[in-house]
Amino acid sequence: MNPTISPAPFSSFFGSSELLPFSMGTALLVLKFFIVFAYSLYLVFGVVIIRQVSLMNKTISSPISAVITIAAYIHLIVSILVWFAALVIL
Amino acid sequence: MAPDVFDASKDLPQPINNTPRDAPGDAPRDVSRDIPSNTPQPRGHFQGGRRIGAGAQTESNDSSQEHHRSRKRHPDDYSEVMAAERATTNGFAAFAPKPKGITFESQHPGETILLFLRQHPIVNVPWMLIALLMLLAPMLFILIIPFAREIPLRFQFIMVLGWYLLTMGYVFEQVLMWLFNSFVITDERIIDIDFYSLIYKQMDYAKLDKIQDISSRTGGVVYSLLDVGNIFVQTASEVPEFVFENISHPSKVTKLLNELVIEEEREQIEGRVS
Repeated sequence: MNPTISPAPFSSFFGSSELLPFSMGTALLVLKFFIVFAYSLYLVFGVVIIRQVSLMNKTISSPISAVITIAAYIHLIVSILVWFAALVIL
Repeated sequence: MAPDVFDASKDLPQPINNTPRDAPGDAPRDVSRDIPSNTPQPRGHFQGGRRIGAGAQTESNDSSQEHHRSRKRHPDDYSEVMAAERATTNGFAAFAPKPKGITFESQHPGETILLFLRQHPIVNVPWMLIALLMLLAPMLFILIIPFAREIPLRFQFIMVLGWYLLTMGYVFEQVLMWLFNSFVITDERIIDIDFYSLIYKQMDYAKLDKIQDISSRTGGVVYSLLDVGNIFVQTASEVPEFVFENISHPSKVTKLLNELVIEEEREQIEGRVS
């Protein structure tokens, strides 16, 4: 009798109906939901950063204010693209 | 030995051709702060081989009352630190004397920023290291976690993309915090601007005449080499202590603050303040 237990691969772990009551497809669907939800929250964070940068630039106006504002908008645009990619690709 | 700036009464009033300079962008002078024409005008004194304290005097001329007015002096006239520093246009500078193009909320008309300070860039090293680790994390994750390769490629791609987006947001947030957590020294006040989180802001002000004590502290090998330290300013204002943390050239800043406090006291003695 061999006492050692070999680690099960990820796919077989989720795919085994004996271990879990759902299939690999269901697991990935749940994972997709969480990823899209997390990226949606991050979108809110991106909007908050825009607001924060606006507030900061109002507090201290400097020659780099425009650069910071552009960077904040680029960050928001990238966030939207990633969120959209998650929605489409997954 | 520090000059006795309060010894203006020993000087005889005499015509001075030295008219005060105005900084670019200065607002029109406040006439209400002028000294009456019968007030004895101090001649100033010498400090460090440079004439200090003569900028407030006006030329004596009977034909016009304006020549008897005492005006707000240019900081270069009473501050050795300001006289030695050049104006900076670098918006990312941590030590920015006479910054051009920088204004702050609630800045008074005619109030000039003498020194704009941020923490020394060395304070950014810890979060930069964290960001570097975050950049390498996906590769380490695939190497360390055994079932990572079993995750479908499209999920891996999106998760890595999201992770790098998170890293980007973290770096951007840290840069924002470094850029905007700043200290401002004007010819009227000191201002400490703090952003503690995304939406929480605190601005502390203290007029120069409320400053009671100034002390600086430098410690550590790296900070000593880079001339970085903390400055503690005790005030009689609502905020009892201002702490300028991890700033460059703390001795220069301390000296400037001392010069400004002396000038403020001098203004009060001469009646140049309302």
